[in-house]
Amino acid sequence: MSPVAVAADRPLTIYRTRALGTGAELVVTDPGAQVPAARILHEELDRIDRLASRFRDDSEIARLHRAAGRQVRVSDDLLDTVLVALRAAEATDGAVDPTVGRAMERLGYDRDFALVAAGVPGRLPPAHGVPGWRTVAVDVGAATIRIPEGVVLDLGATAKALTADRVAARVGRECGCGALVSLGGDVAVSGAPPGGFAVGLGDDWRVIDDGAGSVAVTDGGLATSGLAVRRWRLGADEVHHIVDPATGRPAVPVWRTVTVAAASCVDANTASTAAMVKGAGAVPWLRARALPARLVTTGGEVITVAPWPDGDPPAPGRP
Amino acid sequence: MDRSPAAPGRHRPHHDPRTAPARLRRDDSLHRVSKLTTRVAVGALALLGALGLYVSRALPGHAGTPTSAGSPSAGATTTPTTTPAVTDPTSPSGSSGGPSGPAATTPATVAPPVTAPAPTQAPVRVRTGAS
Repeated sequence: MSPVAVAADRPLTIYRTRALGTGAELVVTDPGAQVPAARILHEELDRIDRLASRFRDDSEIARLHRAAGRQVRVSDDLLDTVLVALRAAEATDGAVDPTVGRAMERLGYDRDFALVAAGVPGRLPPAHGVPGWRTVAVDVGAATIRIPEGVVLDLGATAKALTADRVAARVGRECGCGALVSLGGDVAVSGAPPGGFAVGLGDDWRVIDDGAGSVAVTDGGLATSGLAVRRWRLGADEVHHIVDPATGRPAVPVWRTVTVAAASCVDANTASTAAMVKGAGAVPWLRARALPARLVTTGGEVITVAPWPDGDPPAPGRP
Repeated sequence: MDRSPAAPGRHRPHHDPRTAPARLRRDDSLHRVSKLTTRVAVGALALLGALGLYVSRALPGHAGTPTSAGSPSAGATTTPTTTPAVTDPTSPSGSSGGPSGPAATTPATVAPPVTAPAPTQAPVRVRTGAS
């Protein structure tokens, strides 16, 4: 852990580790809470990996996939995680759909990304819509889930963000201090210091400063979806990981990066992913929900949606 | 033509006036039994229907009322039994998260933050970006 000044004049601490195929960062406002907060972070990272990893045969979701076609009793944790994913699908009119797992596999993303990044053989599959989130039958009272045969759930759009939210909430509750949790750039905040937590903006969460500026986040979550990371070659085609459920193919690039602030990290990441999929329709969709957002076109033009700082609504005719 | 006396157990001729009262009593009894049987059958069918409705709602994964589920792009095969819960991911629910709340019927949506991000010049070490 290393001290870092964030927002206010008091020293905060930051803890970094690697998990879920990306990096995790934890900032706490009380230096004395570093150790218990880091322990909470690791507990939650381990929990979500055992629960929802597509790449682990022993994960609970892998067992659910093997029982496709049958009603399966699941843990409360998996039930909750799947419900959050279905809620995201409903809230985005299906733009963020957890049943894209098979489409991901057809694009070659069927193992840890480190093994995919160098490229995989194959060719772009024909456009074909995914089964759709409504095919997932959930009975909350009985704690059961049934997915149709052939359906693979990918909870990537929500599970990581949900974990960030949980860690931030638990640190606040159990350690009694403010916390910022970033899982691969998906940020959740609780108990922010005066002035908020300063968060840098950019296309790639790993780049410390690319001149895109920063914002202070006081509550909720901040998330970015984009094309800068998780791209690979599928045969002769270059593909990325944001799948349009309507086609089962990578979303047509309109935005290079979309950053959204919302009431939670789950909501922020749901909205930023949906914006990538919705393309030109993203701006009115975000505006209708009063979601502060910053969008960067593939050409580098920056468009903001109020109340983002300097968030002038885009001029008519823009995407 | 066979004119031999009726064998034991065979019907006597219907026009025999000696048997008329008995026939009337028998017909009356049969009529009552028939009505009772009809009522029992109707009751049993109603009970069966009610039981079927109850079971269809009680069994996991079986919706009581079929709906036109499915994504716009593909035919649906199943309807969620419940509307996905509107979950508050930060709600206290035990040491490892756990269920966050009951299923809700309100439409799911994404909500804005209480406070919008503000400009800052403070130094940062944490960034948001694609991952």
